[in-house]
Amino acid sequence: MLCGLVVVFVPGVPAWAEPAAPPLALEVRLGFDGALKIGVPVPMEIRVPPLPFSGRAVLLVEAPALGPQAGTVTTSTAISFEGIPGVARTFHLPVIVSDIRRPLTIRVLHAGGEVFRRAIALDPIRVGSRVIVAVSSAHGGLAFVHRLPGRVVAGEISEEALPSVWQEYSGVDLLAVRDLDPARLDDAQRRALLTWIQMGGRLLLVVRPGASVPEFLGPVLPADVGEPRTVSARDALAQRYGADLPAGPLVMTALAPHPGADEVRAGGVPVIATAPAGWGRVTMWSFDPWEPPFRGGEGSLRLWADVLGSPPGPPSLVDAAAVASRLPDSPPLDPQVHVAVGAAVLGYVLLQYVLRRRLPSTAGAVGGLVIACLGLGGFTALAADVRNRSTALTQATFLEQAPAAPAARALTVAVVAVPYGGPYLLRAPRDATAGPATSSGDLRLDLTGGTAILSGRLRAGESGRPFEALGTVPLETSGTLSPDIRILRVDLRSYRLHRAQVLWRDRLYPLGDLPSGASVHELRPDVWVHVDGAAADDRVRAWIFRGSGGDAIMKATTPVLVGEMDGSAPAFAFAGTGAPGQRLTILLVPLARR
Amino acid sequence: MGNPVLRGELRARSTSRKILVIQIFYLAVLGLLTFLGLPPELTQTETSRQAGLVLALLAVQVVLLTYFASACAIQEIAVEGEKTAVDLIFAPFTPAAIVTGKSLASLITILYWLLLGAPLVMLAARIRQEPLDDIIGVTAFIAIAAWGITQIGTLYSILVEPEFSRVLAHWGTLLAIFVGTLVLPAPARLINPVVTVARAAGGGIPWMACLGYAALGVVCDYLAGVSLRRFAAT
Repeated sequence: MLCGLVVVFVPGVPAWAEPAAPPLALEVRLGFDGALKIGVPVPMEIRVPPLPFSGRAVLLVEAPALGPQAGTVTTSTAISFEGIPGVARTFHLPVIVSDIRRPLTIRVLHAGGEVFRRAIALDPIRVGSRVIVAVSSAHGGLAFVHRLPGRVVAGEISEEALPSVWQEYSGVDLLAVRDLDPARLDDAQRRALLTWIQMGGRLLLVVRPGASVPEFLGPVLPADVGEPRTVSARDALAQRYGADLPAGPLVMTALAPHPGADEVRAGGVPVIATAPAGWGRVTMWSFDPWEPPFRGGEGSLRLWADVLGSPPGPPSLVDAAAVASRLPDSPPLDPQVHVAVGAAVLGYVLLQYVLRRRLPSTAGAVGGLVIACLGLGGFTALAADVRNRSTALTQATFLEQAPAAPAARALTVAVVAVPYGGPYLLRAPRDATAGPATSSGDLRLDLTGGTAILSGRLRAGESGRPFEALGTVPLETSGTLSPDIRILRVDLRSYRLHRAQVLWRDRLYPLGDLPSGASVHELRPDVWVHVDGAAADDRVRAWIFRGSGGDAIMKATTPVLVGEMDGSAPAFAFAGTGAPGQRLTILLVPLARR
Repeated sequence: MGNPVLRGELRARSTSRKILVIQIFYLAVLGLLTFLGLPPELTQTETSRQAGLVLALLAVQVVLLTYFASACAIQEIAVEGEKTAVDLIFAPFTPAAIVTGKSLASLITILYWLLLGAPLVMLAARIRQEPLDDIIGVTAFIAIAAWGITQIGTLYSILVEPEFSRVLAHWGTLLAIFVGTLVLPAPARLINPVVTVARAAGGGIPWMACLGYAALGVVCDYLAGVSLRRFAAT
């Protein structure tokens, strides 16, 4: 179990399944076989040895983050658990590593004291800008991929180490599945894998002769699997990927590509099939790249570069940091606060005046004191109310409909402002991974039953703190654009769109409000405008397209229908006190050209 | 309250229209500051955290209370029904009773005004979550400083007979304390009550300044008693 993962910084730690006496120290596994990417959620597995006590304990993972001042910002992830004497506990949680120069610190706290502590230094060699993860029983098959363009690192794991939360795949550019026993995956792992593919993940499925294909992957596969065939001709493969590929004859599984899937044939037999699945892409190889003929040559590198994709696609159409820069970080004070404070102050002064005017005696002076004492309590409560009303949350949720899939990626960007300074307490959307959109200050994330509670403190006058949460929602909207870009067909199901527009590269077409259900719209060529020229047009949200520094927020290279949506969407909420603030939900529907 | 001078002073002040006007003016200034200073201070740095509304309120308090209390003591603001210390010599009161009564009356008046302003200071302080300990410490300093300076006024009311000269001496003393001390080197600048309030609002009770102003008040009261005794003897 977990044989594919490395024990970071602890060479030679015994496997957990061994019956020997368990080590009385935290065991930590980070990333995929140690491979990880910076700034995105990566899986972490922590085994807490049996505790000598019972009662509430807290597991705290402190990950350093880059901030305005080096070495000062930390994002802490905490899980509370009930300690049972003599029972070891294992925790899985996503962590975001943003600064590899400082170690991660993992602590177990009980009754204010520290029970266990472990510092995990990160190996820079295992940090890549592109990460390939292989599920394989054979090891060392990907040792050559570091020769691919860009800083590519690879990790080899067993199926049990696959994440149960799709967001933990965020650091994976390609998942290559060679040996996968579906029986060893639970439902959460299967769902996470499928969701990740639909949300933009790239899967390579190696179909070795005689091996079966995991049934649960059926909905996303680009081809059916046929019988093994002996392929001697390699002309197409050599033409495409290089002459140093093995000449054969080789035994390969014949693929039967689905309509619309791209294929590569060898000797007339489809041996590579690839097709999009939602935002992602699935490729099937009917040969084993772990076998020596396919390992390490230039042709093999081209094969891997092809399936890895170049350049890497953005994780989202929307740049969260750019959105955060456009959200107001110091919303104006609620006018009712001014009215309440003004009325209270005026009332207090008038009351003192009227009392002393009506009762010009020692009794009046004593009465003035009584009013002052009552005022102390009343004004203290008023101060708390002013603080609560001034603590505001401004957020925008972007629902990115996955093409031909019943789900949408939900990216929520929020800015919490505490103008007078003080603590904030936010609840992230359920089943979403949350974290800072920009590393600007310490943050604590308490993970409780699928929900993250974010807490921190802002100084008086400090700009608002931006956060982002990534999740999914079930959604089945769709749209097409005719090849001559004249006819737009959309099906919004039960949703209506306000300020809708079609965005394609740096041009947009304002549509106004769109009704629910299916509708057809004719697009006139003279109505398209440049996004810069749309700033003054109140039919569109021009800020969607331009960040504060002129950088693009939307990175769509294909036509996208954009509009503001009614109805509920994943959003942050105050877990403590605060004003609800402004909230915007934007739907993005990719438009197929047909 | 066995001191008849204190009793009389308090009775006069609790029925005085001038004192009422002073109180309402003082509360109105604090209230206006509280209201106008309601919007949060944006783009502040950590070090300038205290340079906000609460500090402004406390600074205004120390200036207003010191002026009004000493102006009443020196008879620049003549409170209805209140007699000067020299006039009271002709009544059957000892110089010590007169000085003690006047001194305590000033202190009680200052404390009363501080209490009246406390809700407004509390509103500003709790909105910005300023530590209450600091606010209480500063308030205590304001009371002691205002009382200490007021006792100079009591002394002037005995020593300086012409009203114009008395007012001149009063204003000269206030300007020297609140403005003149700003040219002193850094440690000595703490004589300035506003500077001390600003320092104390950042945390910590200014014990030395408190002791200094308390000593000033006691010395002034002693000198006032001696002067009254001499005045009575002549």
